[in-house]
Amino acid sequence: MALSRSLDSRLIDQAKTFEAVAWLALVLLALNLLRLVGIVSLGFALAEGISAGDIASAAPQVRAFLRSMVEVLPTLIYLGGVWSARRMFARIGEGELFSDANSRSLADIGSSLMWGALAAMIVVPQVLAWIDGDRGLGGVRIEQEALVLAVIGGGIVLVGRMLAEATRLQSELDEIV
Amino acid sequence: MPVIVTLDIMLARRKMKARDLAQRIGLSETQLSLLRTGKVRGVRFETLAKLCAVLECTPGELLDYSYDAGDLTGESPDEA
Repeated sequence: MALSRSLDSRLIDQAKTFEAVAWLALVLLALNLLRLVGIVSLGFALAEGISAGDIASAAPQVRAFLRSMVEVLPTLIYLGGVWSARRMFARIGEGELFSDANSRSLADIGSSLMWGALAAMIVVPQVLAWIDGDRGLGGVRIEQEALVLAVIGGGIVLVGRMLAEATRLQSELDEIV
Repeated sequence: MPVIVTLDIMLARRKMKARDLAQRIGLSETQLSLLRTGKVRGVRFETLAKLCAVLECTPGELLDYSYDAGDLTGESPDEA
C-alpha cells in the first residue's frame, strides 16, 4: 500500500515532533526516578541501624525504603514504554514505516501502558498496604484514569499485531513489480 | 511449474540493454533483474503494458508456461 508523497512527509514531520516530546517525557520520568537517590540514602540509614545491632529501631527506615522501591515501579514500566516510543518515532522520522521493529515497539508501548496501569492500580497499593501491616487484599485501588490507560495499552498491543500483518502484506506487495 | 519469464529473449531480439529498458518503463535495474530471473511474486498489468509498448510485443512473447497439475493444488515441483 503506497502512501502519497505529501502524506509521507507529514507523517515524517509528525514523527520527528513526537520524538522530541518523547525525549522530554524521558527526562521528566528520569527526574521522577531521582527518588531512587532518596532510596539509596534510606538504604545507608538502614545499614547503619543494622550494623549498630538495633534492628528494631531500623523498622521505620525499612518501611520507608520498601515503600519508595514499590512506588517507583509504575514509573519504571512507563519509562520502558516511552523509550520504545522514542525509538519508533526516530525510525519513522527516517522513513521506516512498515517494519518488524516498529510493530515490536508498538507492542512494547502497549504492554508498558497496560502493565504500568495495572501496577499503579493493583500491585503498588496492595504491596504498600502489606508494608503498612495490612494483612488483607483490600489495598487495590481502581482508578478510572489508570483503567483507561490499561485498556488503551491493550488496544495498542493489538494495533502492533495489525502492523506486523501490514508489514507482511507490504513485503508481499514489494515482490510484485 | 511456475510461469517462465522470457524477457531476455525479447531484449536480445530488440537489441536493447536491460538498463535502458528499466529506465524507460520506470523500474529499477534490480527490479528488472528479479523479473528477468523470475524471482518476483507477480507482475502488474501496468508494468506488463509498458514492457509490451517499449519492446513492441505481446504479453505472450514475454511469458511462457507448461501445464503442471501441481499448479492447481499449489504444490511446488520440490514438494510433488
